[in-house]
Amino acid sequence: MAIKDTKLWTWHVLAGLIIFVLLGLHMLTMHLNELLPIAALNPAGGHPIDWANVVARAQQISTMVVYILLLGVALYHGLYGLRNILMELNPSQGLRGLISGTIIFVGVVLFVVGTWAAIAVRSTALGA
Amino acid sequence: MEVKRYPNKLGLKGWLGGGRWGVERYLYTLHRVTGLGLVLYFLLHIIVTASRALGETQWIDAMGLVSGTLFYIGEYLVFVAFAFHALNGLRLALIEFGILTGPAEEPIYPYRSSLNVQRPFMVVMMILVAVVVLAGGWDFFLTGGH
Repeated sequence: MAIKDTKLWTWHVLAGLIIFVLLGLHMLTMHLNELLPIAALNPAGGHPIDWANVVARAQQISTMVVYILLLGVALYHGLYGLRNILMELNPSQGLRGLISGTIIFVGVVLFVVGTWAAIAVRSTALGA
Repeated sequence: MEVKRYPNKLGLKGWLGGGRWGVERYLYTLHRVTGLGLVLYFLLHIIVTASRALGETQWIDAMGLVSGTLFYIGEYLVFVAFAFHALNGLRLALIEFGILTGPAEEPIYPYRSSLNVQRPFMVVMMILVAVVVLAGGWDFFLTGGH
């Protein structure tokens, strides 16, 4: 494994540890809210995806920061993992470049979309 | 410098055979399968949940698109994949950094492989996966909260 690949792999593992904490928090908010109700995660009560909860969470700057951080590390972890699996299939040199380029493009576009959504919904929530 | 690459002779078939590596090899396969599923879900999830930036109506419409029994069961399967991938991934990360395998020791028969050193932790992690899966199932299907 080249040194660059080793570094990217180490970041992949470290990103996984960050996701473990942040996605755990997200799952606690969205899917374990009845078993382990934490008022701060669903401030408006009711269902976690109710618009009132979306707005209430978006008003907290910590939520926006956590979402953007989670978005970035999860995209990196997921797409780098996908790239590794595809590279193990020994594609030709040209195809390797195409795979890497496509994955980077998809990652950047989705990061921009997700970040825009996190910032825009906060603006809406603060105006509500 | 050109890196010499060896052909991947087994390809995807290699995922299915545990060989002498035992249960950890199947966890490896399951880790990859759940990882691929989670990536696919995550990419779609980013697009669907971005609708919240457009306002309440668009958010409710988007959530309506991904509702119904099929999506509900699918969502639980994503939760199950998350539980496994997260806890098995934690195990892999601890092995990666040498935390579970312990310091190097003199090889005295019967030899202890690093696999055997981490195996009890693997069992604990799989029990935890089962606990989280059951807790999620309780929350999804028995409380009426979703």
